[in-house]
Amino acid sequence: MGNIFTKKLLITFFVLVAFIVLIYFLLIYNVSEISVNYLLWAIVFSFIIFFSIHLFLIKINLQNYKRKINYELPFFLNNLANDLERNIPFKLSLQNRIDESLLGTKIKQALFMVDNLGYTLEESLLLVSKDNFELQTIFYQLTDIMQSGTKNKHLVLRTLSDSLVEKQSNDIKKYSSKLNMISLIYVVVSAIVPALFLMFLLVGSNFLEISFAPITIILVTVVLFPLIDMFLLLYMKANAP
Amino acid sequence: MKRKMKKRGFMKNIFGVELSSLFILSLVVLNISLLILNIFIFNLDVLLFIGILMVLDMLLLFFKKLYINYSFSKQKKELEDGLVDELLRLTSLPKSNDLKLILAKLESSKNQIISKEFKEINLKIKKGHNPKDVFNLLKEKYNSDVLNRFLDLIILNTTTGTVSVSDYKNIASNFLKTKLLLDERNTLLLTQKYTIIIAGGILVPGILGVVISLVKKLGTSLSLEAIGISNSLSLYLISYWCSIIYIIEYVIISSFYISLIEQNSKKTVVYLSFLLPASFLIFFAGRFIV
Repeated sequence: MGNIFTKKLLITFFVLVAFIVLIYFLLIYNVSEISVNYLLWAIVFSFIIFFSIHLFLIKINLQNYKRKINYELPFFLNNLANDLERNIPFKLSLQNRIDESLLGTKIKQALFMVDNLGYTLEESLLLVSKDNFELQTIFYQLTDIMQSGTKNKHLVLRTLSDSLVEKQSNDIKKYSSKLNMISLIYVVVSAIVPALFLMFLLVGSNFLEISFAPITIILVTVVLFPLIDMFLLLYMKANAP
Repeated sequence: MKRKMKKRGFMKNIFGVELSSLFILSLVVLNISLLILNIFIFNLDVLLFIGILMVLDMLLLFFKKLYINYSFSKQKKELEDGLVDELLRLTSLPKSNDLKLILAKLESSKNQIISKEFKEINLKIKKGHNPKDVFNLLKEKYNSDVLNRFLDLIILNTTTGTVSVSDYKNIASNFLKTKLLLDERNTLLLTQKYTIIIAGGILVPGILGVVISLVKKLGTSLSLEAIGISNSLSLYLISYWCSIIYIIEYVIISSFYISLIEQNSKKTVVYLSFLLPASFLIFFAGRFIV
């Protein structure tokens, strides 16, 4: 997942805090007499929100990266199978796969480690795929197939490629069923809950005699609800296959 | 037919310049000349007009760029789809490493883009260009994964001769499999996209509009003070403005998310430009319903 509290991010957060403090003293403090407690709460919440958004963004980027590699993997395995079918040595057929794609760059790195740093092919393939569990599994299976005595290695690779496509298809179906539920929650949270809140606020509060401070209404409607919407959408995106 | 085409071509281009570019250019010229004029006769109305024109210029430029991107991606998709058919056609070749034969087959493709591109390639090769360089140019132009693999295979085929017809078949079947996966994923994302558009454009503003209007009607038709309940006008006004701000925020978040789904952040402005007016229209229409 990488380090969340990086120097750059902490500086950005402190700029954000400075901005919140500035708004508080320039606008809110002079207009309505709100205690400093509100400011402290705002800083605590902004800390949680800022870093959780960043965490989601890291997850989304990681998911995008995995998706790109997963898209390339069936092509890679089939092309490798084609080369092996023509009795081209494994290392040479790996060299043929070097291109500008993400997987091509990984293979290039692995072969560089073999040629210049003294690693074995197996070690280098596992090392370059350390950040992606699925890729590491495929590389592990690949080296295992190459070390085995089977004659029709290309057929095994093709089966591996087919199973990969099938797995990806299953992941999409799983996400589809999950998405129906999340979409329902999203519509309820984004449309029905704010409407009910306003209804309760304007009509219900009169009957129940509960008083709401204007700042509470503003915070709930303008800050809290959009934040919940945003987090739900980020959750949907972060889990997309 | 030819005459019609020529006429259409003339409508699209005047002296080699596209009509839309000419229109934007004339707006920019008008803008600059008004700005210069305004230095001498300082007028606030003219300044406002210049500002509106500037926004219009920028919007037009943005939409033109977006349209160019859209038409190019459509062209790329057409080429990729046609390429799969061509790959399957190539499997019927008796000799797979004859470049002339491959190019002739591709030239005669029923897909207009493939046919046009490979006609150009063939012409360049006949003029003495290196096939690898010409293929690289085509690769750079489209930046398509399938096309890159296909051209790599042809280059490998003609230089080493190790490619067999089954390789073309394999590429085609690989692409079809991955395309199926991508289509499945896109269908899923499309459902997500329309859920968000409907929620952002209709449901959220609609429900909020109706609720706000209902509360207002309740306040006027029922004399709440008479039954001992105070009807706070300030509370209503705060809720009213907060709902409007919430709708704006909601539409911005939705538009950004949809553009994130489509992996094109520039589209945020496009979705914003039609979701925002639509949601406001529905929000204010709420008062006519209740």
